[in-house]
Amino acid sequence: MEESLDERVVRACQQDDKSAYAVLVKRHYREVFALCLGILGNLHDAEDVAQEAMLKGFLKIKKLDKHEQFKAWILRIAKNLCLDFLRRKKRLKVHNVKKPMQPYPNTSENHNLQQAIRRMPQELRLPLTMYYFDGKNAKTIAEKLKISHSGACQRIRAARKQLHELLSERKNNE
Amino acid sequence: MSSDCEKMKDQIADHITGILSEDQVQLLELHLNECKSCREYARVLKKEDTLLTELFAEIETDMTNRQEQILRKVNQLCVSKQTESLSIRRIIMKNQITKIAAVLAIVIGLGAISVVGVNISKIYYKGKTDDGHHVFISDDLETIVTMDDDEVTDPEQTVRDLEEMKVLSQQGKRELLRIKETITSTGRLKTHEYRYQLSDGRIKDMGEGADDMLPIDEDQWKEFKPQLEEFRRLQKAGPGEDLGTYEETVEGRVFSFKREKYFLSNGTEAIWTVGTPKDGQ
Repeated sequence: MEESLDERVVRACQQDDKSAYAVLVKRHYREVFALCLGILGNLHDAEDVAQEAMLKGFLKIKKLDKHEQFKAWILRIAKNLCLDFLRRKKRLKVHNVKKPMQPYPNTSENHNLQQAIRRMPQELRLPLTMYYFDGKNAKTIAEKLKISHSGACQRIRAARKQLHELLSERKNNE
Repeated sequence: MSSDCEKMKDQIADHITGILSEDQVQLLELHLNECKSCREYARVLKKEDTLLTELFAEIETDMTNRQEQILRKVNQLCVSKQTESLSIRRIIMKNQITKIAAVLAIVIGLGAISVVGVNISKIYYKGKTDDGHHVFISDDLETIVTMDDDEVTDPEQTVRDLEEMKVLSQQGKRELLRIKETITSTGRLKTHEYRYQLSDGRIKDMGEGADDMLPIDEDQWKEFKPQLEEFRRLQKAGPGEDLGTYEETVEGRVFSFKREKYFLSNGTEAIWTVGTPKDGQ
């Protein structure tokens, strides 16, 4: 069986070819970032955690036995880091409950949109983020989330309707 | 708005996001021609769709920069591996982790750590640092050990002890005594303290970098170090604000965690957490 590019590159990394990891970053970072954004809902948090995931991948690559599974492996690392990040954030959030709530500032549509995405539940935000990241292809989303095509369409629809409600709610409050 | 309109909302959402079949598009268009309220709903959704597409296109434009930033950090880690002093992948210290900041000063490249590797590597004594710590490093750079001066009388014996502890660690023959974590606005340090019983009966307590510790690069360390040092000074001066307790299972055992909050001079917070086994054994 022909060796995939990932297999060859992972092997090179494991043989201490440091420049090889750049290939894996270029090939997979985008998807790692999209996953982090989908789970965390915040651009800056997603950047930080996606970066941490890629660095952790670099440090641990020698432990990856199935070279062809780099993508699944790095996405799993990213997902675990996101969940860990949310757990830590939740704990820190509890400490700050006494702080008064800041009213929503009257800001740009783009900012409102980001805020609304952040407020969505993760199970809807993830497919929506992936959908707009992947050039609006429901089939790809179904494959990535390991669900049926109709299931993917259903989640995208629910996500869009909820996003609309959140945006309308916000508009009415302004 | 008719009862049909509610059903149409699903189809409008599907149409705007591009997942509605051709047949249904035609039926929807017929409805839109007749229904003002659904036309308005479709218009708003279309506008949101445009904004979403623009937002993700904007996010996309920074992708190359983000990748380059990662590659720079990867290069820093590579350099740190070559110079060894930056290549720390794991810390082991004595029970009282009193010199954590000093240790980290030579542990700039502190990495995400796995507790056990498949192979048992040899540990070497690397000598003393300027501030008097003894440094031991495994040949695969997976394990870096720093010890206070008074802990090491015979470096060769310490090497043998550490190699035995590494084997015990791989076999899971150690007891987790305590978990400590410090989080500031610029970094996070988490250590697990384990107790080992060596074959000759001696007991050794060691603090080790937790598995989920992430790499601290040089830039981050420059920001984190002063906060960590200030936090330690505050902690010596007295307890912080009590943030209560919670329980969590770690390595199959329920731990009770206690949290405290300290305020640093720049207005940010440091959160200190310590966990001990709930069963108290």
